[in-house]
Amino acid sequence: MSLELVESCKKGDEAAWGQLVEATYREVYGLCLRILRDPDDAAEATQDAYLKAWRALGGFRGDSMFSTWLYRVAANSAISKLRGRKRRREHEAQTDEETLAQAPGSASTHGSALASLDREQLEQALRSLAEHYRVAVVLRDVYGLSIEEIAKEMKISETAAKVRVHRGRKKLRDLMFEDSNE
Amino acid sequence: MSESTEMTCAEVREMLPAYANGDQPSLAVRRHLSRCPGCPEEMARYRALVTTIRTLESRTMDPPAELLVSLSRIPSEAGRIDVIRVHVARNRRAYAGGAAVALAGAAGAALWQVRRQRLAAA
Ligand SMILES: [Zn+2]
Repeated sequence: MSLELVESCKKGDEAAWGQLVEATYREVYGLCLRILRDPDDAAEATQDAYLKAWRALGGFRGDSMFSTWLYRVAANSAISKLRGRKRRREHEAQTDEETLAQAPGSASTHGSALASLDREQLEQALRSLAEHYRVAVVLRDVYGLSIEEIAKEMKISETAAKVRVHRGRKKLRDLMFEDSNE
Repeated sequence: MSESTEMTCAEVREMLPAYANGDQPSLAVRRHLSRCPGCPEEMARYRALVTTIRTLESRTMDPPAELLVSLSRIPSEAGRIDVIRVHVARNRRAYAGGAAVALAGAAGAALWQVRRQRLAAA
């Protein structure tokens, strides 16, 4: 993502905005979908994120990578939607543990096969994580946000964010290497 | 240094997720890894896990076809969306009796309704 393109967007250049959207919206939609697990919710969160991004663009100083800045805006939208949805369906969180039980079959990954974990299986394992672990791991390990950034977007302490990433990775490890538990 | 200060496998494994993205383990952990027959493989699992997770960023799922169109229109429609946002927020407040409302979601929903209605009509 070129800084020039971002600068043109700041000046209200709609064609530049079109290019910027085209270059980034698949990743942003992917982030929202991995957090929300529902295509329509993810599309709404994506729209909301770009609306916020359009308005907040003037505040982007170019001191961080634009993609990281955009991911933070998207994380903010997706987490807001998650909270709104939770209020409507309080029971949703409880299904996570059930999903966990029927999550991906064990990977027969040993030795040299370690380097190439099955990505679809990993997606499934991520989807099956309880919400607070899923959001933390998705933002940290898929999209490269810092612990500090994750703490801010999730409105929790940095220590709590670190713990969630840590435990989330541990759960993923158990799901992906079920047959390797000593 | 006495044997009793050596870390156990359980202690080391508890810490391994923190080193999954390539951060250098502490000296005590490294010392254990250099002597233990099992823990290095466990470390390798975490590294493989996080390395693969990182590749998911570019593994994008197909967004709905209309999404790109509605995102591209944001500059020309941002003003109109403000009107909808305020309207929706006021109505929600009226019906929900002042309950906290996810205002941020309202604008996205307003745009997205276009697609859902179009699908329903098809
Ligand atoms: Zn050991």
